[in-house]
Amino acid sequence: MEKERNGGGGGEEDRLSQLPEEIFLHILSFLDDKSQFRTCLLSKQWLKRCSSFVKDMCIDATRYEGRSLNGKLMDPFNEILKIRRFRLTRKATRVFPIDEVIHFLIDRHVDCLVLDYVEYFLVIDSDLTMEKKYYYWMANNHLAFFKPIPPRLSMLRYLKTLHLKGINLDVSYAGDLPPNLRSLAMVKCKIPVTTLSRRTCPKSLNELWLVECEIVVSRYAALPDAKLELGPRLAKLIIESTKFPSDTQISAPNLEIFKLLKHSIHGNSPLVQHVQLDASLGFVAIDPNKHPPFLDCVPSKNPGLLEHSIHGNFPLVDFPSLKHAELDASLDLVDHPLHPSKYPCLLKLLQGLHNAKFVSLSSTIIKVLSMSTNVEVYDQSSPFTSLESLRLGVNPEEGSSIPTKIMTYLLGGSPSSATCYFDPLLVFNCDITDPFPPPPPAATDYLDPLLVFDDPSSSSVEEPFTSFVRVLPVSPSVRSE
Amino acid sequence: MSITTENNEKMITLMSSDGEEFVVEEAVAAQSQTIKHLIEDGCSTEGSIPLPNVTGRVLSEVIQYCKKHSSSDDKEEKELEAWDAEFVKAADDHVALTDLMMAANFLDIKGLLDLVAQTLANMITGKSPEEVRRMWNIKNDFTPEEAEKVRKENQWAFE
Repeated sequence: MEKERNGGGGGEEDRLSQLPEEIFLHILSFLDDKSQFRTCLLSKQWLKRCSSFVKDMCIDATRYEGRSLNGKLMDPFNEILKIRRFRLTRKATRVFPIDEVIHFLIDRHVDCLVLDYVEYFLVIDSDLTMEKKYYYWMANNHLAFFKPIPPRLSMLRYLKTLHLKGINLDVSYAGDLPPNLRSLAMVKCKIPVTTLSRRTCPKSLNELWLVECEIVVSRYAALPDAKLELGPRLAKLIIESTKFPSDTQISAPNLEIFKLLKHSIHGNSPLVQHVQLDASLGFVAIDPNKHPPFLDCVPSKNPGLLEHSIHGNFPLVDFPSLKHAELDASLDLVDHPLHPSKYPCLLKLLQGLHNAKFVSLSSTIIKVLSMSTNVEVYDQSSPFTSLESLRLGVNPEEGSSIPTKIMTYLLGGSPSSATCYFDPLLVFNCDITDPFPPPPPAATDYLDPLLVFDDPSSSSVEEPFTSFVRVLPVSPSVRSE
Repeated sequence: MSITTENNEKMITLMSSDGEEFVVEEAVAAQSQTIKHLIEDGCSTEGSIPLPNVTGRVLSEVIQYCKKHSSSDDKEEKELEAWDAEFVKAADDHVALTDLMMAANFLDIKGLLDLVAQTLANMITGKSPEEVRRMWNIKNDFTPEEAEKVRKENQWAFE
């Protein structure tokens, strides 16, 4: 029988590419993941088609409150073959079947996942009395024990970007992270040390943000060492307002950019933050490393003088390839004498940054160094050996006198070509952006608890996080002697 | 026009785009959701059902498939699978398969659609982009730089 072909041209024409979209996608759906994505290399048309059936998806779980969802949550979306970016928002307190969501994502090649939870950290209300705060802390800590969230993240093989907010990773649960993760941001999370150990830290990890997190040591760990051993590809580490166990060690062989920002000098346990210190108590010891943190009130020999006895909680670091370093601390109890044990800790931290070429230190860091009454501080050899530029924040209100000894300490070991800037406008920024912000609410989807939409830019692959660019204010350069 | 056979089976006439007529039992034709709906709407009572998107050659193959699948019960699944495999093999090349796919899509016959899609997918699986291009006469319109970029973005698929 004579074969008939539309448009003629015999066997020379490309029949497959001429197929209508729906048929084309049907064929693609029978391919395994790899073959499917390999087809995008065939021609531009195939590339376009491949990216057209990949969706972005947002779920606001808050709207599910009170509904029975077991096993059916993701059913309406079974038709979606691939999900490029997925966001789950939850501002509720009830149990939500996150297992189902993760399970749904496993086969769908999700590239970027945002889990935006709100719990634990927002529960503590500053108006509560001490007893109630303690109770809340315990209650939530207790809950966390039963919720090793999120489960099976390690099965999301294609995940490159993960953004967790307000998630308590269980201390006793050494839940592995997705194996091919490139970018990880954790905000207001409780993270066991074991999640970022040599064994569990993804080898592909390139950038890591820890913002307002709490790193905790497992109560069940055989070795109570607080060691964060980050992978060989980590180039950027940014830590802001994060609490560490004492003597935490962080190592990353190829780290180039390190920022330690708003590092709280006196320990930043959520319980302690709102405590009104009563001078009549005398001696107040705050130990942020005890679980739960507690206040230890001891009568002082000198009533009226407050001494804050803090275990040093600057982490010790080992970053042999470091180029950029920025340090900034928040110094809430600055009017009171600081416990001397803190200085060696900061000095050790600085020693760990010895290869950095570009260093920025905030005025509070300088202040901690200057306030030291311990002469030994100045006897230390300079921590930096290859500085090209040192940027020091100065507080115009407090005047900007920096003791010569401190300058010698900071610059003494570097080549004389190193430049020092005093910058009253020095701003520190953790540069964290949501890789997949929720879409603005539209009137039409008001009743629709789920929102699936195509991203117009889905065919182009853009950088999920804004690139690392910090514009320094122009400031007069002062050569320090 | 509808004809009734001796065993009281209603017959339907289908007309291909090139004017070929096929008389089939209603149960066979109703495997196609498209035809089923046309029958329900009363289109079959006034003569043959025209199928402007399907050639006679393809339609005869489709009818072959529908006949087999309407006469077989679910019990004979194994046998049916073997028959399906032979059926797509007989549709000698991928050009015939894409025609069949188009027809299955137009006529809305899910089983046939899946069968052909699976067959076509199998022909792509495990082949290099170069091989697939040659097989399907797909023109490579990427510059080497563009191809490298796409490859990089989906690195995992080529490992």
